Amino acid sequence: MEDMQQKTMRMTVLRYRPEQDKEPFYQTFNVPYHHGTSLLEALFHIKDNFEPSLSFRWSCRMAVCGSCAMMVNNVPHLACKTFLRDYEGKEMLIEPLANFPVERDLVVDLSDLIEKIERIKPYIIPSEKDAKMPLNQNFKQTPQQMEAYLQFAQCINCGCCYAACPQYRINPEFIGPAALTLLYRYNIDNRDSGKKQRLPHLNAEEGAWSCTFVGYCSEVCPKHVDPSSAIQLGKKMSATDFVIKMFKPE
Amino acid sequence: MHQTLPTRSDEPIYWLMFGGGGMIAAIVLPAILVIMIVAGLISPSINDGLLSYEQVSGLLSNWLLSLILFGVVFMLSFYALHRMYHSTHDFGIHSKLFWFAAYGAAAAISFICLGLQLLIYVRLF
Amino acid sequence: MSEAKSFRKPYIRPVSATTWWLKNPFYTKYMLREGTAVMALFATLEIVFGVFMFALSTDGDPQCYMWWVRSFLGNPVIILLNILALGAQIFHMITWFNLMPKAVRLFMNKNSTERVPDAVTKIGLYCAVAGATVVILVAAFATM
Repeated sequence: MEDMQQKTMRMTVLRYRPEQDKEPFYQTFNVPYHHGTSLLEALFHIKDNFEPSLSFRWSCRMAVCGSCAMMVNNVPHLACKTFLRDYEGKEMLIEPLANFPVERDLVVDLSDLIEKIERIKPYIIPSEKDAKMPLNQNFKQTPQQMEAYLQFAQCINCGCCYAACPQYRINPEFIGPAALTLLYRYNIDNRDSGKKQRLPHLNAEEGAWSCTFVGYCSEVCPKHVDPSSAIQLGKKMSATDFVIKMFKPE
Repeated sequence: MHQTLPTRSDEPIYWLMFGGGGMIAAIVLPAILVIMIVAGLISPSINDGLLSYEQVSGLLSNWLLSLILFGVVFMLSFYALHRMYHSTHDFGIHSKLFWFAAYGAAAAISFICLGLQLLIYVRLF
Repeated sequence: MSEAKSFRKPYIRPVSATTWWLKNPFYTKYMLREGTAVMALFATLEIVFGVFMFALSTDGDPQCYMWWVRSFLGNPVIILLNILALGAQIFHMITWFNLMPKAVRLFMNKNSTERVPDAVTKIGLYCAVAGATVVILVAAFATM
């Protein structure tokens, strides 16, 4: 069968060993692959057969955990969701996720992303009344109320959108696509009453207003969350709040 | 962790003007440009042809049409200079000077246009 | 704190502040889209210049205004720039309308989980352009 035919892919991988290298260098491998070989499997092959010291993050192998995001030919991708067959006839350049410091080989330091997601309180903050609700009662939500935020709740915190965002690179203070999307997602959830605590982060210069709607985050998002849409809707929310506070200051 | 809350940005004002101006640029600017191109090609005389003196004086002596023209110029200048100011950021220039230059120029263009239109309106009246 | 020696030395990759947008076609398109604002400003300045020349002509002598419309707008360089500006504005219009549905998130009715399709928003916007263009051009050509 043609699909099972074995081919060879020329892959160039960025290497960086902090204990001995001053700066990263590139190493090229010829990796055999067939129709179903994912980039993650190709990296396993390199680690098992050519270069045992190659470091990269992975866990679920099915685009759920968000660990294996990396740059493929300068575009952010999940290694587990990227197939070598789609690069047939080309070469592959594998680099760690852009816009983040390189810790080792394909491993980046995502602590800035994690801090920003933490900062916007990505969890339901119930109102005082709801907080005292007995455990045998439920929050009520209509299908439409759920549909309103569901797409934005699919984020797996892989960091692809931060690697795609030129504004995050220009200004690392920018809260960034994933965190702003989660901020908006919780603000429009009818079970949540924490909008007042999150709005200051949305209204800030480093909040929604650092975004210039490049739109590449939505293009590369492996879960089709569409962060740029959430940020524009966040801008509308912030502008509305701005106008209201102009006439009714606190 | 950030303990103090960040300060509110005044960007919504400029963003709302940018949004309105961008819409106007998309909806009416192509037609305006077509008129200017055709007028350039046909070289109108004083009282005949596209953008002839008489036609434009009819436009500028009508307060409503003149006001609409001013609205278009005002929105377009803020839209264009807002976008260009943000492009300076994209090129790695972060200067408050450019902020004043951009919005100052937009305000100046609008103000000059309004002054001239008032002058024309008063003189033609 | 652990006594173990840390070998951590996070490496920050350099990126050119001025040419980064040439590395990816998506970024290049973005910068072109933002660049159309220059042509919008050019068109605005042309209009204001025309209003200025008209103001100079209101003392009874239309010579100044006629210079603007015949020699300035009629200058081949200006005609070419205006055609370029028209192209830029059409590119602006297409990119602007393509992104607009992302900023509008409406449901079909108050119980439906079905959203208003992106195409409806876009078709509405293109209809607005068609309508405005027809009205402006008809008004301009009918009164000339």
